Amino acid sequence: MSLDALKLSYIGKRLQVVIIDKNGFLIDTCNTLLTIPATSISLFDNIVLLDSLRHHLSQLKIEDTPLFFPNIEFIYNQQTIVVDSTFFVNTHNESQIVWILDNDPYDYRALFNMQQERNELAIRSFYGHCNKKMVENLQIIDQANEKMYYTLVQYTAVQEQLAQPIQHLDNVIATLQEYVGKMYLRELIELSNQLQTNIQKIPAPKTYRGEEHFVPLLSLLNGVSNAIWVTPQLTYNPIIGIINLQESDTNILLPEIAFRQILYNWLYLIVYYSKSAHISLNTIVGLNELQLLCSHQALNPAYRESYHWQLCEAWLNESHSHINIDEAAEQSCLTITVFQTNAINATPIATSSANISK
Amino acid sequence: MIRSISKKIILAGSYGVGKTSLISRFVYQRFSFSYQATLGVRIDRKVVNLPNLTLNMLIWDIGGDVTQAKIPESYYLGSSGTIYVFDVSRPNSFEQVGKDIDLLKDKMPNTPILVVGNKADLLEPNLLHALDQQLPVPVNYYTSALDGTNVEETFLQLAQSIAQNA
Repeated sequence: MSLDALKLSYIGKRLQVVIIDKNGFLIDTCNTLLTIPATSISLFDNIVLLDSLRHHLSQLKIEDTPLFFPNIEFIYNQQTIVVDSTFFVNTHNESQIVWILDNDPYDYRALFNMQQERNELAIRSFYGHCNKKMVENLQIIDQANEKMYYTLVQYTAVQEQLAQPIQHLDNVIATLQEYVGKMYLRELIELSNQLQTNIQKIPAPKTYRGEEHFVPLLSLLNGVSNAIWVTPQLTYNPIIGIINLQESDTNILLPEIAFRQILYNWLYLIVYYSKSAHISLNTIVGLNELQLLCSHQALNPAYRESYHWQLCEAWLNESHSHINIDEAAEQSCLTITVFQTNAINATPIATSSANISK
Repeated sequence: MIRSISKKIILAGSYGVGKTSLISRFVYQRFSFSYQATLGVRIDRKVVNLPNLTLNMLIWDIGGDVTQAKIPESYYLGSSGTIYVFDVSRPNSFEQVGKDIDLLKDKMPNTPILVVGNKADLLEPNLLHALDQQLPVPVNYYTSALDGTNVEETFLQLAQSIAQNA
């Protein structure tokens, strides 16, 4: 089959027919797509596609199925060619190989675009899936980081709070170390021990009862009776009366202030609770004892001897003094032990009396 | 006298794994970040000088597909060696590696096949090691067309294997 006959069978397509011998030398071509000059060089050495197939082409037989290579891209004469190539043995001449180059740029471009789009889509979808997973993982990491941040903030706050007392303690420790180091603390401890030893040597304190000196009994009783007389509660109650004391120049050695308070309280309670209009007070003075007898009438039941103890318990106990109330005899007696009654002019037993009238 | 022979090799593997980039790095020492799908086959030539042999490598860059079963059989015709490429950062590019290698061995018996994990620059060494333990076939090289890691070594290894068979 001649070249023209071959061309006719492929009419309507943009193709080129190349007829070569089994060593690759050009016999004829139409140069539709490629300009292939007739040279003394084998096309096997010139065209990379043929070079790749030279062994098979040289052994191709007439009964063999045509070899079809779709979409082959190669460079020839510094020009990139894309063709579908078909090889078969010329049915009219077994020594010839027919190479048909078919090129449809529109089909090729459409096919390329389809494949490019398909591949890019597949690759993008894969990386898109990866990106989606990565975004999800990043979100999880972000959440974990946020939690960790807040935890760290809390820990930092706690650490700061803890650090402040520790700093104070450090300061105290440093101060103590400084004092210990300078022997101040040891000296203070030794001084403290010495003071404790000295304090233990001091005798136990006694109850202070006031200064003791000789007191003129008459003026003392007068003072107390006057005080009772001007006491507002007693005048309002209504106590109207006077205390008459027989004159006496007896002097008694005792704590004047304490005795005055005892005497005042004793008489005050009797006057307050007594309904009689007249109260007489007699004194009997011994060497070491002073006895005060108070006569009264109709002592109110609310009066209690214990009132006296509440008022002057400590002093009475210490001085071995006592108070007796004889309600039947309508008489109260205050006996006071004194240190000394041996006043210069005192008689061994002197009697004084005072009258308090309501 | 140094002998000179031409041998066809093919680069196979899924789409977007970097087959064209490996060839660009090996043949033209360049790299492009843009992706352009290969439709059918792109043929390049590279002369490799070996001891006592000049090997004219005719490199068929076969447009990738999810499996080698979809590749026209005529593309394998006359191949003397294969570099099977997968993307270490994209698991679906090596899910079929076992089946694909079996298919290639069936199509091209008695020819050397190198398994290459490309885009190694995208993975940390420890992850790459973990991946290597999981793959069903041994990987000959982990390459990076971006920085050229192991690219030259891969092609030279295949060239030497072909030369031994020649």
